[in-house]
Amino acid sequence: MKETSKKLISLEEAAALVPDGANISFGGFAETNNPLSFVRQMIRAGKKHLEISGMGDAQSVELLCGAGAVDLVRVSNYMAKNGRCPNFCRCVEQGTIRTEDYSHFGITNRFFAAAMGLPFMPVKVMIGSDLCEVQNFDKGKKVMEFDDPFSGERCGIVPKLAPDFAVIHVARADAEGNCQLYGITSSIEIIARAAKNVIVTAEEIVDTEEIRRTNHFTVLPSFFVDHVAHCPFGAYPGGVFTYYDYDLEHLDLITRSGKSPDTMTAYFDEWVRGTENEAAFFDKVGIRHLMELRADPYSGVSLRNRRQFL
Amino acid sequence: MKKKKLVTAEQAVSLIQNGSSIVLFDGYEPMSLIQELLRQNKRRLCLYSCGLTFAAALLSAGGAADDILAGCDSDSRFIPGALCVGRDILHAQLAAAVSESDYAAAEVPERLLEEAPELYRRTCRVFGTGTQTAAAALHPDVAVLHVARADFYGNIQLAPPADMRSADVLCLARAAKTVIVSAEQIVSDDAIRMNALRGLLDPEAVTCVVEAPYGAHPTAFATRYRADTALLKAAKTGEGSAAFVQRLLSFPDWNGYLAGLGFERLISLTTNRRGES
Amino acid sequence: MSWTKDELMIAAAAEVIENRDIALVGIGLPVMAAMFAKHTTAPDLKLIYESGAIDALPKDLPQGPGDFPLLRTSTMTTSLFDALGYVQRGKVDIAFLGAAQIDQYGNLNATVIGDYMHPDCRLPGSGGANDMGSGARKIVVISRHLRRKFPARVSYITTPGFLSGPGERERHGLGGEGPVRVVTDLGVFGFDDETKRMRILSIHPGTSKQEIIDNTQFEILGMDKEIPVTAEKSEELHRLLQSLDPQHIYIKN
Repeated sequence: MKETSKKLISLEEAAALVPDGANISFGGFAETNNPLSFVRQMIRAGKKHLEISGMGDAQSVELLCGAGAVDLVRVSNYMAKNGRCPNFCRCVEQGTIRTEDYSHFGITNRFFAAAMGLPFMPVKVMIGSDLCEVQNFDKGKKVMEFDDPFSGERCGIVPKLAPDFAVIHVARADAEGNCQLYGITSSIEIIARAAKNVIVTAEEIVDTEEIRRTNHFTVLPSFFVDHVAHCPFGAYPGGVFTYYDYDLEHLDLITRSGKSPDTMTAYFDEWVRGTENEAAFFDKVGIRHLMELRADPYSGVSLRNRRQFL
Repeated sequence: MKKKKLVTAEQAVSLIQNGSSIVLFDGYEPMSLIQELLRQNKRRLCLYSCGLTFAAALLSAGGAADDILAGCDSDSRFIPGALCVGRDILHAQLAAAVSESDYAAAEVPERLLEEAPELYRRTCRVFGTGTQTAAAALHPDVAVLHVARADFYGNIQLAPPADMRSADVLCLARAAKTVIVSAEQIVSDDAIRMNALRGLLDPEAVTCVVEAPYGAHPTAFATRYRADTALLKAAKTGEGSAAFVQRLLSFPDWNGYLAGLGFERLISLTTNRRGES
Repeated sequence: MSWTKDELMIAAAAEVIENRDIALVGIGLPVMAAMFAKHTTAPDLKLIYESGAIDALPKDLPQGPGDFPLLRTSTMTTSLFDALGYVQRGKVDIAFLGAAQIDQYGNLNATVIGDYMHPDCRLPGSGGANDMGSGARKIVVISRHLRRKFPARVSYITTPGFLSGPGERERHGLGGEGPVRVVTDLGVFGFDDETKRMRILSIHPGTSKQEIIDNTQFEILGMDKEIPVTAEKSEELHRLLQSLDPQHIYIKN
């Protein structure tokens, strides 16, 4: 019997917690572990004026830019499977969002400082480049060159960054918020430890006993987590290691739709606003299609996706 | 050159002739193949049901099966017309076929000696004096069962053998000439090798494999999903089974049936998304 | 059969790898270069991916730095923070980068074309590129050789090469030697020890000096002298390379 707690809430309730204008951070890396069910629900709820800071959150940001939900982005790298993210690039080129550029390690260190309860972290990245020279809305609180007071060695320092919300997608969580992931973590545990409020979406909810039994997969302890929502296939069309592979067809559909605001709106009208909730979305995607994306227990890929289905 | 055994449900069930005898195992019910047997309007099937299988009840209600021998220790009103024998007796009859013996020496109750003398009789003891009861070996034409994983070549894996029963199932499936398997998921050979201790049947013995996610629904499949008790309860009367047959036939195939159940319902039954390990 | 441009680039990039190097690879041709090196001159090469997959031995080509087949065969799966932390610590001997633009000092631009505040074209951004350029011992840049990609100075330095000349990396406290090679589909280039400006090392078979000059917006050192032709390796090695990408996922030209 699953324990109930006040942390375990529905996806709708979780998305409703994020106000317009929130400083929010999404986990993920490339096409994996992106909390896209949560993002779709935010779009259904019409969220606006978001300030997004992240690392590896391309899929999430691309959708939210396409929905016109974003004002500011701290960006490290946004790539779609086959090139640039068209919605994000168009918003930047048209001036509807403002950006502050970081490197992966640079922005992760800003989160790390907050995660460690420190005012700043020393780094040896970004300095010397225009990531340091060019400062936009984080001017003065981005990165600066610094001489180590002990040895005089030149390095850089970055200030802490504690988002209002971190939204991370994990493999398994218990009702208390202990989180497990298989494979790489892409540092979602760091943004979770940095953030003021942490929302976890999980493929499966399991008993704490099960977590204890398999504790080598635990990446985040429950006391960092405020809310947990059960979101099976919650990273779709991204993938989750050992659960399902990413859906290249649907990712391409999003990229193609992003070529113009009209086609992007048509995508949202059909797939997001046109489905009442995630269950309806997945019925539209099709159970057959989802089953075909299931991970091979060895390699984690969909045999059909990777042309290995004989 | 390894022979590829993956086929569609339609192709697999086409191999089963009218009048065939089929062995079924509870806990491993291949409902996608049952749907296809009904859809192809198979007739005069003879069923050996190890346990009271929903599959046998459906084939009976659908008019596909004439003779049903159910190995069970409780009431068989669930499957009208079934001859109920003890689980152990049916197992022994199948095991006798595997070991190429004509019969198994088993404790057969009087009523069976009367009701089914072609299968159960009293004979002289082979060693010692007096008589013993004997049950005829059963040679099913086909075994159909649902398993956890299979690769393209017929290597199959059941759920982990939490008890001895699943090892039995594989043993007894060998009594059949043809073994048709539906699998929750088709996986790579690496994946099969990774779980090599999980109970294999020699791929040579497997005739063909069909992929069928949630393929035991509405029955449970160990380590993957619970039984859909709401549906099963409704179906447990004679009329209920017939209504469920109609439900199955209202979809063109298993994918259609799953789409009819919907994402939310299937997820609510699922206990483990990743399989057994 | 003669080597294609892609194949020459892969082989040239693989040449820079020494046995026992620890290499950080992303996606694209560098993956092929690393695999080719591992099968030939650098069998002890260890690959790490910025995603956190360490020392993976995938049976099939990965389709991204966090691709699932990498995770099954890694000796360790950790976080990006750890992997790029190894780079900052100085543990990574060689990293491969692509870029939208490369200038004469090996600085790379992957952020914007035009003014940052009002760009003509927004590009993907640094990702781990700046981190690798700041800390890996050797950087190898792989790129198509087109005029618009080779300005005299990039308008935005995403990844530091030699910045504005000798001594600049050191002054800013950056680790590593900086870029050692730029491998393009026209030739192989290095950097002059004294001035830190790009210098030609070899020209690919079938390519003319004029082609290189026309496709570069600055003067490359060494163009006025006799330039060695990029050596094609043996037919056996050619076949080996082709066997690594049977589905032409990476080798397209």
